[in-house]
Amino acid sequence: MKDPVEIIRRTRSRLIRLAITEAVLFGLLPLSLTLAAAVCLNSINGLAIDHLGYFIDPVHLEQLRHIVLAAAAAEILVAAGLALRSRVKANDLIHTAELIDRSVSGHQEVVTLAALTQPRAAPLPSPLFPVLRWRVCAYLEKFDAQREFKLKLGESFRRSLVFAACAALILIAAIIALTTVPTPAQAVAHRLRQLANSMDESGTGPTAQQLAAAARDVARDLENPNLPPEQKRAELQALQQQLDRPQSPEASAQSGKGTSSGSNGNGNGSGQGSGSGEGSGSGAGKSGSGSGAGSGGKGNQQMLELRNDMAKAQAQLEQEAASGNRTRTAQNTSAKGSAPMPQPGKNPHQSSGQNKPNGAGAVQLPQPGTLASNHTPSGQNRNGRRDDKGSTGDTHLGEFPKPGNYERYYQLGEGGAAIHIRDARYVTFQLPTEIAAPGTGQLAPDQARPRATTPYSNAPLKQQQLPVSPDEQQLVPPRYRQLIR
Amino acid sequence: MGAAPQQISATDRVAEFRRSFARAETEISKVIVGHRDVIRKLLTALMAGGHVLIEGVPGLGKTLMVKSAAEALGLSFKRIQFTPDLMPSDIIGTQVLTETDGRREFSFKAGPIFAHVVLGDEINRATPKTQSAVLEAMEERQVTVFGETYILAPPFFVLATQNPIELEGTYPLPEAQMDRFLFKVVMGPPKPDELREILNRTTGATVYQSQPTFDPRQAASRIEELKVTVREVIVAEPVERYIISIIGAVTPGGPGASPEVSQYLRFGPSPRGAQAIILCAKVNALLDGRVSVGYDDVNDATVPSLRHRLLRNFQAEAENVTPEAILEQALKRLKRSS
Repeated sequence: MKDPVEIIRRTRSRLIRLAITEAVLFGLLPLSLTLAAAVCLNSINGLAIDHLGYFIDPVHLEQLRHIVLAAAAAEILVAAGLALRSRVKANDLIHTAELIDRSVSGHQEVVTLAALTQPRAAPLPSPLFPVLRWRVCAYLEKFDAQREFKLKLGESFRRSLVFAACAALILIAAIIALTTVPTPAQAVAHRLRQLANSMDESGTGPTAQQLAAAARDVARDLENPNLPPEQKRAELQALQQQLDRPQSPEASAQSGKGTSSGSNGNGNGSGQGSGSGEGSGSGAGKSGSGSGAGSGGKGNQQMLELRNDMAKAQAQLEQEAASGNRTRTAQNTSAKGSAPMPQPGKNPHQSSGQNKPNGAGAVQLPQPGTLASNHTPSGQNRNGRRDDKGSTGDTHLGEFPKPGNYERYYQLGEGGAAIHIRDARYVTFQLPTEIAAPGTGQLAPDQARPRATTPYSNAPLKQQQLPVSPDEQQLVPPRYRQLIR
Repeated sequence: MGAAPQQISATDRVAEFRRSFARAETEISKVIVGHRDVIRKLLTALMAGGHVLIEGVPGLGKTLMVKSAAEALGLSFKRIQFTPDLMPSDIIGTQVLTETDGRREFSFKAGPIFAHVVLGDEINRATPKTQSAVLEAMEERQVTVFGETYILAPPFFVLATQNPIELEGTYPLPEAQMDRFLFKVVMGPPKPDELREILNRTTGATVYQSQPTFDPRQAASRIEELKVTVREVIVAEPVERYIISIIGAVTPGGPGASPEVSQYLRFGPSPRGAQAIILCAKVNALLDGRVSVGYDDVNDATVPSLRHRLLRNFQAEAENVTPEAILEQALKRLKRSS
């Protein structure tokens, strides 16, 4: 006959093991999810940029990573605490006896026997104790702890799933709360990092490694809010020149053979209402239809997209630089002159472009080098119809949308799809000045062809900011001088 | 599997208890129709060494039941009809002057309380002084007359009755005195088929009589042995804590007491209530063949043990909130079962 007290003790040990295991299982799924999230935050950010056009800026991303890691540590502590508490609770002989009693319908006889074995029990057993022991032995004869007390995998998994779902919801909410639309500079920074990573993974030569390091440096600087836009723009241009330079075959294989038409931001889309439209190219995101994937494969596609983003970033940086200069200029001139700063919308020649709908008599003054017939009163197209579809630069809200950049790079002999830009008032295009050297496929400057210094455009030229006092500006009739500072 | 001799003896003792109890129940049921729970409670109280207060309207067979129980157990039986003019000496006895061989001397003439089973009919009709004489004997198991103490021979079992409908000119037992009874049993009217059987038995030619379970010469000692067996039943600490939690749950302001308890009760049960629960639960366990008390045994013993120990306030009486309802609610909240 088995010792019933020993059976109860062994059952208690089993219950302790089960309790600890269930507590660990409870924390396993949420911990795995949290750690995976901490490890994959960068990848998630990258996917968000690539597919959704949203991202988390690096500062917030790092903070989020720290928070997620702290949450993982907290989950470990919680699971450990639960395991400890479960162990303490299961380490009670009376509690184990009650569970056995319930399973064998023992009417608390098993509990009574277990209680009598405790040190604090009455020293003199009852004369009826042998009957109690004999009856408990009969109960436990057919009792199997492994059959009666099993690991509740399903229940543990369900509880863990609920906890993990809550953690996932909180994490998703945090990510959504922190995501923003990346600026072109931030988008470029992301692509530069992707480029650098792909260069490193391909195991190319030292040139490509240097280029990858340079790309990372530029990406870091682009996201540094303390650096001036001019510096960022210069770095970006330098990097672009490096990318455009003929490189090693390995690097070329990665970067593709896209054309490099010097897509600086100067003539593309800055100024008064040029190049913007309702196409899919404005702001962040891929350039609109007909992107030149060409024959370079995925690497070429990435390079094309990179160049698109770099052009947008340069345009943004130039705008930032220009707005910074205008602020400084306005501050300087307001310190010099006695007239108040003209408000946006009042001076149609303000290069900020915030034109208000003009009243009677407000006519666009002709600019040197442009056809007068190209100038139409703001707010109207050449046919005299008002076109307010968000791109005219003289909307009723006085807004001036940002110019879009529809750069395309085509290789020699390559034709692309038509660029459909709706409601664009001004279009700027620049013909490539390089041609492919015959036989090599590499680019070379076309010395025989005159280089275009100014892109072809029907946009009115931006007014030159002459470093002279307003009185010496001769382009403006005297009657308008009071409006200009 | 074989068992040790001591174990057989203990097992036999348990079996003997069950057998004797069942036989006594059967014998009493030959005379009394229905009221099986009342019969069981009477025998339980006897085996637990307590006394019972029976409440019921006249004509239900209370006297016959107690008399049949005494006959079934082979014990001596005396009945005391309480009246307002009854004196304590009429119950416990007195010294009387007798003449023996020309000599006059006082001798003690024992009162009707000197019996194994004593039925006190309508105890609430006697004066408090007379009531206290009976209650003192119940508690002390002895009486003192003229400075001399006389032990009441065990087993000593008192069944007192109360008539709930004739309250004029009565002296209801104070709650402190009612606390001395182990149980309070309420006898209700018989069901229609039981009434038919009663009529057949009591108006027919056949005389129904119960047979003694024990030899009358050994009945007292045998019953005392059975009472010792009851006392030896084991109560584990978790069960004791459960009983203590029940007491606390029905004591106003006690641990675990619901707001209704404080709202409807003036006082809760005394420690005697916990003693009554344990003793009754022990008998219940033995009747089930067990030597340890379980939660179900405690649940069955709670209502008859505590219903007369809860002192209701005026609001409870006005809203007709019974002690049984309060006890049932407390047991439901504690939710323990085997």
